[in-house]
Amino acid sequence: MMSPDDFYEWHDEPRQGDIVLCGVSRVIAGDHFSPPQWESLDAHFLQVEDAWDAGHSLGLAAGIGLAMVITHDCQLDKEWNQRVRELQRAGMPIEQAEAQATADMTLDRTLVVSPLIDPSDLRGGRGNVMAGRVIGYLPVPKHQDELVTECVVDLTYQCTVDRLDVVKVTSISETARKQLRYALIQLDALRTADLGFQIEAVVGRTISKVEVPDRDPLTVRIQLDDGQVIQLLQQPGTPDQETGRTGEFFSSRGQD
Amino acid sequence: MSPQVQIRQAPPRDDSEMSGPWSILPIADTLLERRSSTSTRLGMPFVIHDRDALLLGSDAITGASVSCASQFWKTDISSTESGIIYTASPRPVREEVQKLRDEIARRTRLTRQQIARAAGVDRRSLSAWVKGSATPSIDKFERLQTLAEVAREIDAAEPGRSTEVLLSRTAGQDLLDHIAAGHFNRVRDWQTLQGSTPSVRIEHRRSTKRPLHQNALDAYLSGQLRPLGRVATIRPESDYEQDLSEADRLMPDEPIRRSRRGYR
Repeated sequence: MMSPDDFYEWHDEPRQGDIVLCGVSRVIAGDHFSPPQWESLDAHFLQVEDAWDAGHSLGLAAGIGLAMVITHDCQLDKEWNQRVRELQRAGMPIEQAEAQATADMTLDRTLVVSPLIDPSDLRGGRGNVMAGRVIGYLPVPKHQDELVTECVVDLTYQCTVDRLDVVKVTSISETARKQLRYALIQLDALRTADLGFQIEAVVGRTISKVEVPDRDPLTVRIQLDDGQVIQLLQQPGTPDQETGRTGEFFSSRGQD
Repeated sequence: MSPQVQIRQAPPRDDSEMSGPWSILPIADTLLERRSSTSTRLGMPFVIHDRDALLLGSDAITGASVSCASQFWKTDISSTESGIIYTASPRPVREEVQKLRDEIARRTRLTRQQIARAAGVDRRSLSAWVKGSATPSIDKFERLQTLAEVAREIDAAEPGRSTEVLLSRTAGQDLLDHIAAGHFNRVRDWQTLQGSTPSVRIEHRRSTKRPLHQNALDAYLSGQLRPLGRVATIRPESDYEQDLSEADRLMPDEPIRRSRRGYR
């Protein structure tokens, strides 16, 4: 687990990875089943009778809790940004465009968050979870002001909240945000999303850009933060049985 | 001389808004006038709910014969004995509609569109009835009356809840839908329907452990933390685009794991 100094870093603007105080909710069955790790979040049970119009009710468990914003930065304020750019293209000065977009209450203002939970409540114990070895959970160290205790973000619980009902508690560093994105990818899309991280570990640099040239789809060009470019070349005619791609490194400074 | 009463049905009209049996029109406060002199009112309250009521009324008035060569909202009663023709001149339809609409709006917070929905028409038709540029059919007028009647009942039984009760849904339909469908008996039994409307049950559970968010909540309540609010941030435009056709080329295939039975 990262140290608090490496994990926390204050930023004024809303960002992916922000830790917030907000309401969270999930749909539940009629027996109000609540797993141990979510018991503290499930403070209220709402049962809407006949919501299905067939004698079938709709159940909700809701409560207040700490949560991490998992919406990507680019999705935050997306409609607001689009509106600002439309107005700018129509010839409006940026300040006026921002003011007009802000006054438009119809623009999307939602965030997706995942709650912070006590790892002791998880089946299997807290060791592996706090070490970051369990897919679906991101370890969070104790905040220096004790606003956040040592816990994990439960990425398997995601809900949409309105930013008007969200209180920002703290934000996290770029390194911690990378861990969050990696955990999200592994949970939602790719169980083996570590190729890029392995490359970064091997070359000791950070990948700043990845592209596949249109004219050469067998090649993947990886640009590092120091300007070096790594070119991954698939061997024609000999695809690997497991991944379909083998890697061969060609490195040069400042050129292909 | 024994009265001779003749009733003639109103002639059928092409206008569908005007169709229907004229005799069941519930016309309140009708005054009979001599057709020959509009200034002379006989001043007889004459309520016509159905054909029988008209017969009784006409019997009492003329003691002679009655002919109903009326149009939809007008009834002529003539005496063959005296030769005098009486004309029923009820309050104009538009005034009746306006009165009902205003009463419904006063007792509930229904919009004109919702009132029109109960009558089975759109808002413009309702407005046209009030202006007098169109006339409602009996069916639609009856729906308005039923809505007003039910609003009155709900207002008396549960003051302040008329709108809520009228708009509460059962099986996807509210009382306005039932009125529009002509299910008047079901609507008048609104209390039974209301008993089956969706309700929300809430249970609270207090955690025995100190919640993780307690420190942050205390900080917020003491003013140390602030809501995000609506302040937005300018972000790069290019990041809004995606090309799903790239997925097949860029994403690795899921490894195929077969069980001994061949299932994935």
